[in-house]
Amino acid sequence: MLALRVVISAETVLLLALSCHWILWRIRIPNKHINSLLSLFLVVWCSSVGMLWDSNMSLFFLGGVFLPFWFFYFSVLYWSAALCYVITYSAMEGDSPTLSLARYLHRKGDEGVCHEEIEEFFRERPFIGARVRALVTDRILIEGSNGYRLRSGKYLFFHTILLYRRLVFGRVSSGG
Amino acid sequence: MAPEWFYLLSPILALAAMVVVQAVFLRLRGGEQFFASVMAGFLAGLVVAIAMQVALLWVFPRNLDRWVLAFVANPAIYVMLAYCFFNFINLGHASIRIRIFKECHDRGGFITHEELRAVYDDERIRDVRLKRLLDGGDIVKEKGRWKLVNPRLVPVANLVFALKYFVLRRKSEFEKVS
Repeated sequence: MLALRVVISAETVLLLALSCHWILWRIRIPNKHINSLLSLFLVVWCSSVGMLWDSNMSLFFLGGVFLPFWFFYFSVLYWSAALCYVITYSAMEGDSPTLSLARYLHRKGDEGVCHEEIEEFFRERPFIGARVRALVTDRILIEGSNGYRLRSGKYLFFHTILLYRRLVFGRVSSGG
Repeated sequence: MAPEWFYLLSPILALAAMVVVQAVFLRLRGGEQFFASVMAGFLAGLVVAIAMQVALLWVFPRNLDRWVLAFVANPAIYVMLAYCFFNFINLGHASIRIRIFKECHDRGGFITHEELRAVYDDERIRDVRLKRLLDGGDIVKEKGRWKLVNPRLVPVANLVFALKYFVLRRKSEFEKVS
């Protein structure tokens, strides 16, 4: 059935992209993780569409007529799963203070920890420094002797998130 | 519009319902109960997705092959889009990087080390995260000791750490610790 072939093809291509990602990251982890990951998903998608387009078992043609419905379903399935992975990857790339703390407290069990141990936990994990370094590595901030300068650019993604915050929460406070 | 495109429209309409319900819920609660608003939005979207699926079978009974594809794929697409949306709004809620970007942008594109330390330091992150866990009922402070009383975040944390180890071969970005 064509419907199930579309689903299976999209998931197979996704698995192929994830395998390539895993192998490439074993060889060398790129500096700009997210851009590299998105590029990899794009390359695998283009290659697979090219192959599926040309093959005799093409999903997207019937009697020589292009079937955009199946093509779009294939693409939407692939890209929604790919974006889920990219988002999960961005969350796991750096440590989450909340999740790290929850895990740490779980390991300590019923005994718990005193406030000094919590302070020590955060001293061992300088989250702010790590995030600033990540922004410098991603070429969003430029480090100078006095501080950090924002590299010129539109930063649509960041502005969209902040706009959403303003619309829904009415303010964007500082904090962690 | 050809009838077949309604099948693809279904998860997008469901996501639109989630976005609207989540935003309205949060607005009505004055910005409180963030996770409850996400759940309310997700459930509203799910209702729309199911209603669309039933309606499509009713309106286009002859497009069975397309309906089967939509039946298999649409719930998965909706859940994935909802997951992306949740993470998108959670970035504005919890991402340190977004906040640092905002502080720098609000100051005309330059922030000094002192200004950055004044608005963000690790002690502040510690206090905010402790308060968030305390308010969420995850931790308590008893006789001067912090304890985890609700381990709901632990499976998520373990999964994230396992995935990190599998892909990046490290347990923490701070190499010495785990």
